[in-house]
Amino acid sequence: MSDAATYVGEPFDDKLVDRKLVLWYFLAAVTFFAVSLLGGLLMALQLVRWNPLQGIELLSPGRWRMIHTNAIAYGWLANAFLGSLHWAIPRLTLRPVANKALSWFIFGAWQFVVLATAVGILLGEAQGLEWGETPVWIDPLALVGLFLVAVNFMAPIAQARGPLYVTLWYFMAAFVWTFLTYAMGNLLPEYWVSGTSGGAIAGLFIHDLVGLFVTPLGWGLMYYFVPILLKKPIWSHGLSLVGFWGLAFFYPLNGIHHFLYTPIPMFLQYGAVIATVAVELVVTTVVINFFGTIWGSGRAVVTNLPIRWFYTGMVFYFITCLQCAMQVTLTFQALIHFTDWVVGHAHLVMFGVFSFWLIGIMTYLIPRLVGCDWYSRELCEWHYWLSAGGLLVMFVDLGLAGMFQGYFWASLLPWDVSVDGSQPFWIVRLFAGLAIIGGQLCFFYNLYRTLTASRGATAHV
Amino acid sequence: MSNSVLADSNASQSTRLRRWVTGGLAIAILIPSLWGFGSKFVEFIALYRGDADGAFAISPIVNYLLASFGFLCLFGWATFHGMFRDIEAPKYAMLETERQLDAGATGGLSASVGVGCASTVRLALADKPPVAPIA
Repeated sequence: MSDAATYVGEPFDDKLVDRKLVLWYFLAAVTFFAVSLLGGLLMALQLVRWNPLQGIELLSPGRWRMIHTNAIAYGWLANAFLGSLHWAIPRLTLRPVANKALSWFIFGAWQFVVLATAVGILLGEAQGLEWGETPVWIDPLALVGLFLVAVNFMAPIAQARGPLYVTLWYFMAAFVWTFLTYAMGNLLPEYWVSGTSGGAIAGLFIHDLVGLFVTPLGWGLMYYFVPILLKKPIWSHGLSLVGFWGLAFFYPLNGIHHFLYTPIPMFLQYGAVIATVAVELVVTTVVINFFGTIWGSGRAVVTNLPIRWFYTGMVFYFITCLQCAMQVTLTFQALIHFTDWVVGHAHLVMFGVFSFWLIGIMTYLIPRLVGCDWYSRELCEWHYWLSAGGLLVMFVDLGLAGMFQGYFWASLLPWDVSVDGSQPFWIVRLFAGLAIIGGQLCFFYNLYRTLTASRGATAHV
Repeated sequence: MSNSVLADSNASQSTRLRRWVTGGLAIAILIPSLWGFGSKFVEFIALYRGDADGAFAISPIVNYLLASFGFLCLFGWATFHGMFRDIEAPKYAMLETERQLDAGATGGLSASVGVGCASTVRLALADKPPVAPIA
């Protein structure tokens, strides 16, 4: 277990960072993470024909699946990002956020948005947009929330003098992109753009949610936490800016690649294919930069647990982007479209990359937030190995399942044959998922015991 | 011929060569790119005009152009405001800021990761071993 994940009792300026708020964001994130895991487990059980909630309409698998994805995107990732931003931005700019009361208001409002989304989905009010199933009446509230987030964080960034560190570039872009992406996906197809055109917008929304909300925040945080944990600067700041501007110009057109072989004009589909391959080149510059940074300190991956989470996520990120560059080719897409390959890909991105990074950040920050060390170092190790091992098995398993399903469908056999043929893969996926859940249970228990212990410890902050 | 005249002559030849290479590359890259973009744009207009439902292709294109144009403006603004002048400076300043925050010395810090003290910070870091042990 890492020394870097232990509490070293450094002095800290409480006026800069609201530690209590960061901790509350993390606790909210972890709570929704648990809900999402439960949703995933129920879906896995449904696929192996053992649904414990059979016949209960409110808890039907289709609704649980949406709870699973929405809780991850808006409950887990968004809360964990907001907590991390409340730590990183004031420390990078040496200025607190615009208004601390506003921060607390946003915290409360965001939990309301996520909870209302869950209730709305369970009651059958889901909007017909993948990963944007938030009921339509919540969309304006969520947009106001995102706008307030941007105002609150942009104030300290705008006051920063001189050339900006790359993290702040990523954050600034994310605040603008997230607002625009959410508005585009949730409002345009609902009210103005219908039919195939709405489908094209939905494609942009799904992918931009990953590339323009999660990715810039994730990479921005990595550019901040990796150097301070390794205690050395990023290998090339210039290259990091190439990565940022490459993302800005190449990413927005990618989303159409979700709808290859549809009535969307082919030149738009080709454009998406080329833009996706171009993004892979941008990704390569980012990955080279981070591996250049750790060059000569490779042992940190063994000794430093947050760094291990970060770099495992980066390897998964490279794999997932490489997959992306392959699977957007028309030939490959014909095989894997609508199959479990895509599900494996999505799990690698959302859990293997961004969740790993956020868990690494929490592993590093929680001792600093609560003022005492993790309750158990062994549980931290179990958390890592069960998560990484379980995910790897799930990813390979779903990739294989996807290819089998693709060939079943291409051979024009009855649908049932492909479902029966998928059973062995879905059973393996269930156990891989149980391993992941086991890892998170270690984390939750460790966190609970750490928080309990921290109450008795003398806060040295 | 004196050494300085020789050096000037070599520098002038080198500049000329660089201009030729840059110009050649610009032509080799820009002409096919513009031709490709232009022909696709013509195809797009034809689709828009010829097909009753062709207008739907406009929405993703407009989305992309709007987003990209905003970032093109931001890129121009950043360039003219010297954001890329001393391009490696912020990474040293950020680390130094963190070091001082952890040491509790926030009082003396005045700005951000892009502060003008970057060169001082770099010198300070240069005194340290390149790979600090994980503490």
